[in-house]
Amino acid sequence: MSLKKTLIVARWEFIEKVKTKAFIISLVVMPIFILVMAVVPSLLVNKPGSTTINIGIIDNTGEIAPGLNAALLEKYKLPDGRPNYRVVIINPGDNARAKANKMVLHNAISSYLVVDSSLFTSRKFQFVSENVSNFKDISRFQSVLKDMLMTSELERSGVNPGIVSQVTKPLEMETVKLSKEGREEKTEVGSGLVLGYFFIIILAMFVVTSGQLLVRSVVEEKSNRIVEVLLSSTTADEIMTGKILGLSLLGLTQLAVWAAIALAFAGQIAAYVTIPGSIWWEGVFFILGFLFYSSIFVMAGAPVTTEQEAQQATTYVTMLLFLPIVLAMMVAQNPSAPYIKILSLIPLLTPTMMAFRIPIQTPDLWELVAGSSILLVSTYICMIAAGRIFKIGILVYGKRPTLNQLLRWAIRKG
Amino acid sequence: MLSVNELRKSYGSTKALEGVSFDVKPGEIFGLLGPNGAGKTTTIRISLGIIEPDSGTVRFGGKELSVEMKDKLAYLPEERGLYRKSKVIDVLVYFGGLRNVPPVEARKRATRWLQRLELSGVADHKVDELSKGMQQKIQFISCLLHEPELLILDEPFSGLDPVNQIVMKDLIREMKSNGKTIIFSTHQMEQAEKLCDDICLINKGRVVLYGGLGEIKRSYGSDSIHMEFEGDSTKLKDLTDIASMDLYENYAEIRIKDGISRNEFLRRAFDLVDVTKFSVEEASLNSIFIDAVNSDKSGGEDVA
Repeated sequence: MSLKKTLIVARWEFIEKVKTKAFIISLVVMPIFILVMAVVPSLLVNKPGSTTINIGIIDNTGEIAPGLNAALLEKYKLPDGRPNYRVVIINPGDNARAKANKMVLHNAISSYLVVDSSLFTSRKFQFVSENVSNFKDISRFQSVLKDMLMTSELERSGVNPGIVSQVTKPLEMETVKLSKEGREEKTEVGSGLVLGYFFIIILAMFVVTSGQLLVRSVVEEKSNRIVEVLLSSTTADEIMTGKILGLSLLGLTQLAVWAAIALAFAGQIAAYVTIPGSIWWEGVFFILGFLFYSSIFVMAGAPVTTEQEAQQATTYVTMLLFLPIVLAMMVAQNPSAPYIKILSLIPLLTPTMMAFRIPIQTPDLWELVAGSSILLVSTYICMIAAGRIFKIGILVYGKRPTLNQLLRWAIRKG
Repeated sequence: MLSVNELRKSYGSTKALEGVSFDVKPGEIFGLLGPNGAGKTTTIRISLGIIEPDSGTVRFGGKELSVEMKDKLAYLPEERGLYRKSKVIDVLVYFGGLRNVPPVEARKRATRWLQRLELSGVADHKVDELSKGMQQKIQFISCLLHEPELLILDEPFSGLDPVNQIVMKDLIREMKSNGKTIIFSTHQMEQAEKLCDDICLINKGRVVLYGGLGEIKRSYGSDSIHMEFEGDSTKLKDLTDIASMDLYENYAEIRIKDGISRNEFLRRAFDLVDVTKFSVEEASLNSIFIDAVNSDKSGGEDVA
């Protein structure tokens, strides 16, 4: 195989794709999309209110309403110091609810609470509003009422008020992640999970983008018979290697640009995730995974003739990449369950399973070594098979070959 | 220059080539002729090392096809294609590079050829902005950048208008006078007749005619009746004693059976249509082609 011609093919694939509008758009659009999806909703939800909200209460016990205003005022203030909530007491009676409903509909109050006289035994209250999806307000009312109930019950049974205020204080938890090397790192709950997701999504995007470009460029060269000119001046192996090389360089460029954008937000990210020490294993599985999946894309893509068939062929491969997301919750709860370990050693799943597991709880060294060795051998075999299928497939037009035929191409030498 | 020996190739149960052999001499224009599906393209692909034959050999100057040899070949496939979204000059430099022409040199040569074919203005255009004829010329240029010794042209005239056909024909003849060897594959006999030194006619994967164009024409005799006429051409089909006939609306080329009087035959023909002009001369390559293909009908399977 001539390295020179391989590089010429690689260079062409890279330069021609880098210049396309689709690529330039994907460079900018994807980070913006992620930013919008990830940051904007949480910004909006966590944004402190700017006006005091009026809430009503129909208190049939007569014990809750007087203290509610003070309790809410103590905990929740607007940034400018004004109270976040103002309590409007609605006298209980036959037409209290009708009156309260009218107030809500006229926007005099945003919502109201109904406390029955049996509150202390039933431990139930009602929240009435036009909008019952306002999680922030609802959970605040719930927690304030719960604290008030606890306080009054404790005081009624004669507990010292000092102790009462002590036991009703919120409890904070710090999570510390223990690394394989025995280092302790303070971290947020679920940060490993987030990082795990992040790695799979990046890997999947990397593989799918490059894979689709690979298949598309093969289909284009087939449909206008350029492939014959290429084959008369180079070999199928050089073309295939050149393509994989050029398009992975393209993928790396994309990643680099995204990484640069991510660095701009590094402050926020660092506050939330801790990069584990075994991070370089991620790199191993990333590269092996990329090569492995590329060879599968070549096998799926070389025999097809139309763009549409290419789309179908790549869809199945893409689905495999997202399997760990389906298993994510099970992995997160017990990353070293035997069946997870077994799944991690199946080459089709190894790259993503490992990429996901490493940030959550780094697998044992033997697992990492076994996983990467099996993957390395499989990648080597798949690359050779892909080369053979590519050589025949790129000259086949029309009917798609059966799986059986593909297998025969892959096994037959030369 | 190129020597093809006993090539055989099957696709599943379909036999594409059943023992094709021929020699191409250095510096000649060699016509690889045959109807659609005869095996011309398969022969070319095997010669270029794009596919492997089941058996048989291909030799270039006595040697097997090597990497160095590949850089001395050029191939213009029948179905034309260039990267549609790329710039003309970039595509040319890329194809040059694949044949080991350094980028700077490839750019220089490409620019010169574009000028020569009055295409300088489109160097920076995208391929799909060009007309079909322009794209074909660009593709032809892409075959010349590495100054090949052997050019294999598959249907180089198809899709070209008469003016561009002349441009193409002149280029091919210029290549020949520069000492290049040209293999020219076509099923359009008029062009082959004007250009080729030797021909090889393939039908259903077998060679049915092979040799110097002049000899072949002579062997078919110089007693073909070429006839222009007015009237109902179908009436001529009723004539007896015809060995072969190539019939058009107002033109026919007829070979009569041996031992039949030409004058007597012509009189019968004159009764059927209004003949405006006739001559007796060498058979055209076209009628030789039709004759050879038709008389070959007995043998061979259908070929994809």
